[in-house]
Amino acid sequence: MSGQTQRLNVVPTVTMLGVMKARLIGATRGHALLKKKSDALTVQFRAILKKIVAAKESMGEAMRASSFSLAEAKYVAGDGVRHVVLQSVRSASLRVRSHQENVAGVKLPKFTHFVDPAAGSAGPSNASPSLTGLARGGQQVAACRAAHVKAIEVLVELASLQTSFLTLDEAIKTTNRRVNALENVVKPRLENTISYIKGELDELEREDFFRLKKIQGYKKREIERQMAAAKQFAEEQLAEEVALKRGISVGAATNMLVAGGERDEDIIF
Amino acid sequence: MYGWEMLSFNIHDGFLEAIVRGNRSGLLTAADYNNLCQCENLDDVKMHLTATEYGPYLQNEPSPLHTTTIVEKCTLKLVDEYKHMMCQATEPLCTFLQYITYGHMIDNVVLIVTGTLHERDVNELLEKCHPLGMFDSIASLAVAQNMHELYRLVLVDTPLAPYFSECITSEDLDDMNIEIMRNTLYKAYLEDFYKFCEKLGGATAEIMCDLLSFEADRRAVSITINSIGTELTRDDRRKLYSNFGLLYPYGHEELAVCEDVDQVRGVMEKYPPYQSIFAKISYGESQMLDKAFYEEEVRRLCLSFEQQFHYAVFFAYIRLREQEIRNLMWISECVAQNQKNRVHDSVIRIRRCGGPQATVRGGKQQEVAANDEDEWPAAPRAMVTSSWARRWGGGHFGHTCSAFVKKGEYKGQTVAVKIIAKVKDYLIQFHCIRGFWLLDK
Repeated sequence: MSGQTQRLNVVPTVTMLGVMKARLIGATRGHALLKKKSDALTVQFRAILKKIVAAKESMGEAMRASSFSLAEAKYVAGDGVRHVVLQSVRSASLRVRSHQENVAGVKLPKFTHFVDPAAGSAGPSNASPSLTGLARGGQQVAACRAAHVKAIEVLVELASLQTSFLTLDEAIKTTNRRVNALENVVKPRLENTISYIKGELDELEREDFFRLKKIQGYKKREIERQMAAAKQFAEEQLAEEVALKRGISVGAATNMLVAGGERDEDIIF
Repeated sequence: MYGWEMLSFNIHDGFLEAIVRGNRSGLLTAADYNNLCQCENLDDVKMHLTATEYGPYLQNEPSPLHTTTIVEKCTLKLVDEYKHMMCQATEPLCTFLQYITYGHMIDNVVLIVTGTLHERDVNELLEKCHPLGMFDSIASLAVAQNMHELYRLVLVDTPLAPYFSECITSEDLDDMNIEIMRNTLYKAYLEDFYKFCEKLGGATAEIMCDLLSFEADRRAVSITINSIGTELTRDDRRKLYSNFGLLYPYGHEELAVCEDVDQVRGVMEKYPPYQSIFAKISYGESQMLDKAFYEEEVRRLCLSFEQQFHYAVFFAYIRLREQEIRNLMWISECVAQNQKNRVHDSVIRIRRCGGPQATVRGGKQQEVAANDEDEWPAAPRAMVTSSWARRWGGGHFGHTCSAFVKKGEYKGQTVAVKIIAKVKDYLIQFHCIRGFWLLDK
């Protein structure tokens, strides 16, 4: 895989190695934390899924009951009752309030329904809708309303769960992506970098060592050479002294000849 | 005039009575209801209905059918029949027929007024009005801003004008007042109708006053039960009761102070005609009350056909048709919503004729008693151990045989047995014309 061979483009120095090691530790810790978060989210996700299944089942029941109670109301109070109810609608009394819930750092939207007492037409305290079908079918109309309120409750709950479900799903996907990215890309890359730096540093060390060796060898050779030269010189000196003692130095005689031959062009042999 | 209607009734109204009685035999039969209840979807319902009187109204409907369409078309048939009768009618039948529609007219007026209050579109509202309660100037109701204008501009020309004089005092039209207004109007209408019928005299007065009294009492009970726990005060409640009927005046006094359903029951059980209704309902339960009242109403309406030379048959016919449309709506709703086990809960079968429904051809016809299907489960059971001689007759639903009873109360007698073969579970259902029934594998 390309990820395994990848490494960061850094100068292989000890400082960088320190930085990289720090980053690797950071990445490992981050990975562990994210893993935990992902697990927590998954647990929550499963719980919500269970709730959704239950809510959906009860929703089918509630919707069926509510639409059937509508049929009952229509049967008893006449078909016209729906128009009567429809025309006397003002503003909704069942409202939905949304707030946020924090689950492992993910903000989940939650909906709760509540009865708005100001907006007129729910609850037994307010009489105006209860008078619908006063002469016939008022009870069925009331029962129908109760059934529909129940259906709305289930619907709101389901909506809340579904939104949480989607948000959580997204969050889990992101977290998992991060976890995987850390695990499979960032950490190997850092590790590669570290090993690369270590390798480079080792290489440098070896080179230094080699160079030192080389220099040592050279120095040694040089010393040997000097010593040899000194020895020779000493020998020569000894020889010269011997020659001086004889009268003329061998070397000087030679020199005189050589020097004359070089310097004076007028001398013709 | 009582007793002398037969001399002169047919001069003006004989034709129409024949028509209405003819129409009445177009009401759905028990077999029709059985077929309808076994439908799987609305197209089946439509298919069965096309074989009935509703056929021409439903046959051109495109296939994704809705309950509302069925109800609409069936109502259209009722309206057509009403209009046909209205065209032929002479006074005073003409006025009588008009009186029948005033109830719908009140509903329409109230609907439009409510809609106007909430600033709805008038044309939209007009579509939702019941076709029987339409009148010419109904669209102009929307211009009215308060009760005085409403009365002065529009309603003064309609037959409803006298009824409005009572509730003209309430200035502000809010939802509560509108519902009270509707009931006040209805009360005035019922009283007026009652007086009109009394004026007509004869069998009409006798039967119609009975029917209207029942209606007034039913309304009183419903208003009482439905207003329990609401802001409606006792005095307001009292004002909505019609000033006639079996409960008037002492029953009304007692109903007005009732605080729960059981108190209402206590009041109503003092009146023998209503005992049977409340006997059907268990204590504390009031949901089924409306249905019980419907059943009783249908029974009374059917009985009105037993007498001749009176106008109540027209009223009864319209009401029975409306009940039938309600039944159809219920069946279609149940079929559409897949709630077929509830189908029988609210269908009130309308007995078309007093005699036996399944006439047995040949055999001992005179021994065959009336079979009311609703009474079967309550009838004594007996064992009919086959050995029927021959098949007497068959219909599209089942066939009828003669059988010899070997066990039980009717041992040793020959009876007619209606056999309904159910294909699914190989169950043969014996329906004995004698009035008992049994199941046998």
